[in-house]
Amino acid sequence: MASKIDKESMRVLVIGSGPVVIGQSAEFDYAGTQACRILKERGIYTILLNSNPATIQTDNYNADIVHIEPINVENAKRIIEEERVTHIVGSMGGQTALNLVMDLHKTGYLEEKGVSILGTQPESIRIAEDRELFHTVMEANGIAIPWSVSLKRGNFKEIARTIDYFPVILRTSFSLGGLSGKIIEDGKELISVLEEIFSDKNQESVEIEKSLLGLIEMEYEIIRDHEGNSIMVCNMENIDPMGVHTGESIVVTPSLTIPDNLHQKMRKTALQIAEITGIIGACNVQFALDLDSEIFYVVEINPRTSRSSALASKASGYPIAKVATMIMLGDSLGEISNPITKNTSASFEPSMDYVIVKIPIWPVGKFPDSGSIGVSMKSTGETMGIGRSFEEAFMKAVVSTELDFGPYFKNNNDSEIMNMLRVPNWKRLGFVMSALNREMDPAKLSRITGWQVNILERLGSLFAHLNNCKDGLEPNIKELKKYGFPDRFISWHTGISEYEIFLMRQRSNLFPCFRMIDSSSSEFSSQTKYLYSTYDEEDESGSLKEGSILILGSGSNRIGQGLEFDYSSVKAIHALKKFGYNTLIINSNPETVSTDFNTSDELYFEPLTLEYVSGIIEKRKPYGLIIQFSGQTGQNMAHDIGEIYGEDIILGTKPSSIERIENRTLFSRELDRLGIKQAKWEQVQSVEEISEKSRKFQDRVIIRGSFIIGGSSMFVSRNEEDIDFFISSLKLNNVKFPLLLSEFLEDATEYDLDFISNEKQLSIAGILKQIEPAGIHSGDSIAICGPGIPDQELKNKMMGIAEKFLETYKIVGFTNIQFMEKNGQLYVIELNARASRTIPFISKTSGINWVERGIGMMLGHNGHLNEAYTEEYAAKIPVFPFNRFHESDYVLSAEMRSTGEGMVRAKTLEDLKEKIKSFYSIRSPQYIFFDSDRILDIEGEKIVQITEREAIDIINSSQDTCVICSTESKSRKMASHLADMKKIPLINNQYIWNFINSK
Amino acid sequence: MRRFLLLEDGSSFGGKAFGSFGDSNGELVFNTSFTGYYEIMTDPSYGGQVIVFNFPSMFYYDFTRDIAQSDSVSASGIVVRDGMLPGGGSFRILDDLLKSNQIPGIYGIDTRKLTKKIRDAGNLRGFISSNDKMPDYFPEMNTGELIKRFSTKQSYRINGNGSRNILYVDMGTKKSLLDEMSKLGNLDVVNIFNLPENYEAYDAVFLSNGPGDPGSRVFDGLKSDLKEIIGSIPIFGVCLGHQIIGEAIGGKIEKMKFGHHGSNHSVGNGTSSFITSHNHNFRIAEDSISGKGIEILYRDLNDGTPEMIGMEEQMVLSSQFHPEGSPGPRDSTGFFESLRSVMDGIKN
Repeated sequence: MASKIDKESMRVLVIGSGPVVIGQSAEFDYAGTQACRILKERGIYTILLNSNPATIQTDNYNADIVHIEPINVENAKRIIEEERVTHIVGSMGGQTALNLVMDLHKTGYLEEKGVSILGTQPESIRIAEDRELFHTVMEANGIAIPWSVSLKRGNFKEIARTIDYFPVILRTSFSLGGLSGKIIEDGKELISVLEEIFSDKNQESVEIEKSLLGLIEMEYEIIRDHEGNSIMVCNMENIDPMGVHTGESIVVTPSLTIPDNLHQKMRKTALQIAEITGIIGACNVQFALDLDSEIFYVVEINPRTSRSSALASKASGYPIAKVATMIMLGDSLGEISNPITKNTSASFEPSMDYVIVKIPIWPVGKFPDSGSIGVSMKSTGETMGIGRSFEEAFMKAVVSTELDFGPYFKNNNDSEIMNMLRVPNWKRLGFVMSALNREMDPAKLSRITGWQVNILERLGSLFAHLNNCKDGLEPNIKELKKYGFPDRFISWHTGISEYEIFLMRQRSNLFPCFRMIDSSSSEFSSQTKYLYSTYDEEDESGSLKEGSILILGSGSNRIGQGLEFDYSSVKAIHALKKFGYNTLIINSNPETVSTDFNTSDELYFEPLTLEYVSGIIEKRKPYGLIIQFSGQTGQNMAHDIGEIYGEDIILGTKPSSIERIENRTLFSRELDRLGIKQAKWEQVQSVEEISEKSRKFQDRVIIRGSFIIGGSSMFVSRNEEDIDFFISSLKLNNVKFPLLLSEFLEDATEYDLDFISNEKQLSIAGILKQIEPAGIHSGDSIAICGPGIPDQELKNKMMGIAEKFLETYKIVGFTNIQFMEKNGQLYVIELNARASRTIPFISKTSGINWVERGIGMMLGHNGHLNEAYTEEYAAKIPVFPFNRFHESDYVLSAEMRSTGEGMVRAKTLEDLKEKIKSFYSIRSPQYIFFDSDRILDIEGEKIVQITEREAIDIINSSQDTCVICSTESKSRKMASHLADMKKIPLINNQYIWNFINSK
Repeated sequence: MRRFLLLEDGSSFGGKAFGSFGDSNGELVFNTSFTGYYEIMTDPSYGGQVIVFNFPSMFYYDFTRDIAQSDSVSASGIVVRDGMLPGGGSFRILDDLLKSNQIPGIYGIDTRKLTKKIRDAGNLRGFISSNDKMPDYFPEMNTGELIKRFSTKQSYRINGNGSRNILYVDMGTKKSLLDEMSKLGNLDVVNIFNLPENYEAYDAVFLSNGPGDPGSRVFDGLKSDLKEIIGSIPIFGVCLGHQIIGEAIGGKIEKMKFGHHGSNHSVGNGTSSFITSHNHNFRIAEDSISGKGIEILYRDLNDGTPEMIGMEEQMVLSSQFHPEGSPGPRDSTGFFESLRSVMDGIKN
């Protein structure tokens, strides 16, 4: 590649990663946004393809042209031709983008069109992606890889007898559902298992591989330029040993338990691999390390930015995607200046005088799943804790999960604790804390969990110390804070509320100080306000700035609270900057754009709890606090903040109004008083009352509590069985009464309305109509908008209700109302006094910066009364992770389960339907429709009823037949999994099907 | 037990004691590595210095004999942030190690605050004491004594690879440097007080790292010997050795504000760069060697410090950074290959 590329003639296409799915989330918005920014800064014409409307990347200012369309070969080709693309970037959009670029390359298309790939070249990518080739190349260069051998039917016995290294993993292509691995302990067992396998006539070969289970998993983040210069940005030690996917592991950076000589060997090997492979830009190398023999194996490499590179960037303050982009454009490492200190070189390795701990977030309770973790990823996001010691970082990360670990501190059932520790699972972290709290032997815990004993010992001694503070909390609080115990952690242990602990600290003026992340352990001074808190002497947050506003971020990506909120946070920062404010943000999610230290004026990487928010308020004295972009997190904290600092510090709707809205009973009473229609409702105070009052509505009810997240305390019942199930599930959960029980209206149409307001006036930002009926979570439904949706009469009714709410609750800022309509009657389902998940979508469809307008109104500006509505139609289409949860039946409910969304747009409703089909990759005219009581084979006008066996045969033999499952179909679980496995288009309910087929 | 770190600028830091009892003093240097702390503590170059570790959560892996760079902990004192937790843990090993070497340590210090102080004030001397009473004076480093203490007492020979004989001037060498050099030939290891009469018998002279001030009179004999032999046999050096060579070839040494101490410094030559391990408070002043036929082969990318110099005709090659790593990266072990090439008479 030429070392300098002529920028004038460049037209670069950047590929994004599409809807958020498990394994691909906000980290690629972060990487892609950085890449686009650098391209723009260099004056290069930039074109972006990404179907995800919730990304910052797809905002127009980041690229010259943004194409929000499904990421596929057809669309890419069309754009390449229309836009006369000269270069393409596939390393900033995860596996989706890399695969697309490789597909375009393999067919010779890119060469034919004269399009060059920027950064790592296809030959190099192939080495990384093709396992066999990777092994060959590594072996040829003397790099240790896990040894493996293929056994054939003909010779398995002779070869098996020569294997003397156990345990091994035996893999067969035996079962549907892909390769399954079995661990074999010795030669005798191996022979007998092989004999059994080969007794099946269909079995031709098996793979035997050295088992790396239990070894330490290490990662190295590497950057290499075209001159061959390379650096390690940081290394990461997985606390969970090999066998747990790195995305599912608790990770610490920098490494703690690895001696320097071993670390240096792995580091050098990683650089060597980048060299051999020919990486230009970013690369991640994973090792399995045997600490006893000091041997390490290369597990895999990723020739692109990744989830780990986002974590490494946030952990070290070294923006990998940014530097990698400069390198792709021909800069050498030595030429680039360190983006955080601004006065040193980018050719250096960041040093840290703090520790980082990452903890994954799983969709607990969302899917029927054992919760075991292993080689496949199930987590939806992650949270990062920063501390001045490992212990502090670890506990801050635990608190950042926003999960309640309180019950684990009360667990004294040692045998249950031990059992739960044996197998890696979603709850194991909790049980590790139970075990440490019970002061169990660290050596024993280490043997069971595979965690390093030194780590468990240090944590154990801290837990023991907490147990020993018998003379009460107050005399010990200062010391506990110095050791790194967050208030919430102490609260779990002592049962004293965080609010009480805050008051205790306030009495002794004990507040955190803030430290800079400067990539050099303060060896060089830094200008960038990237800060974290600790309880120590010196504060580095600097002189106070007039007119500061603190925005609460939304924390880790989880179902129901993800990228959409981060989009709004980032846009709010931009708006506030424009209005002349000094912007502060607090967030705990390392994947996001909001935690890019270039986004806000001051970035506080902290858990979203009262302690840290108040810590910032104490030190930075902000003029106001914005909680409306933090999803439910901020709503839950509003009350305490209001108590301490007065309601006026909260910009937008005040905490007292929020309480009247979030409290279901108060809200329903208010609706009645205002004469606004709602479904018939009852308040229930006890478990007994649930069944009694449900009977009034023939058990067709929606049950809700106050303060929900992503619908997780909502339940829809259709019959008595559902009620019984709900009651039995209550026993396992800590549910706070009263609950609100309301009549469930079948086949009602749900609408989502977002508006912005100051105290006096409001502007409607958008109204979305859902394709699926009410009762299915709005986040899981396809939603459409456009001219005539809804009709003027209904819209007027909605407006009237919004006006009433404005007056009643003095609503300011962003608000979302959920309505349902049945037989011309409009009912209110709920009101949320915060920005909703749909803000980015309606901003993209209307081309209006709703966040900026809303911030303006929040600050008291006048509204825009003349609305410019788009002439276009648009649809928001959710995506689901069902294929990772094999027990799930793909049925949608009031419990939100989609991880993300894509967007399509069209001039007419008819075209929109075609675009939706294209989103689902529907190419064939053939559909298999699993209706409630029959299965239809549909091809144009020809409709034939077929048997289940026939349907399966058709699906199995086809590449692109579309499968549609009615919610009532008895075969839906089987059919859906089959379609997912075959990677053919799947529409998982009849409502979508009816909509796209309606005339 | 309380313990204090008192600084010559009049400030003090209160912390807790570990390691041996007793007071100690030395020049404060901070090190930014997150691994390799045992190598650092045992590196004789830190003789007379008090090491401030920037990385807080250390000692999660254990000390083993084979990674030590000398027989004892060389620094005069150790300052860390994270110390004994109420339960002990692996930190106890460090405690025992320091006790057996009679080195005091202090923990619970805000090392970031201290580092910024060192960074902004330049070199600072400190006193580790059991009380907070300022000492009357902060003693100067006595380079002569340090060299005596940390270099070999008696000359000895290491039979290395090949048939070459290299005179290895030990001024407080790291073990890993001896290991690397023995791959190039047999080493006659001597201290500066027992320099040979006749250098011509050797294929090369190598000057090791070590503690103290390169401007000290104690090196005068060595420097004048080097002046005599320059051009007749190859002369190599690392760190302190590099600085002594710099003076012998007509350069001047300057003290840096707070030096380079860490495993993450990049050096480059305009086209290529790599990450190196540094530990130096002094450097060759660049203007003092200009126009003398001395080539600066690599510079620090941040502040331009000459990090490797060479004189091709005179067969001189020396490195300010530590190509042997230990601790730190070994991306630059090619340096030793270059030494071999010089001895082979291969130019460039």
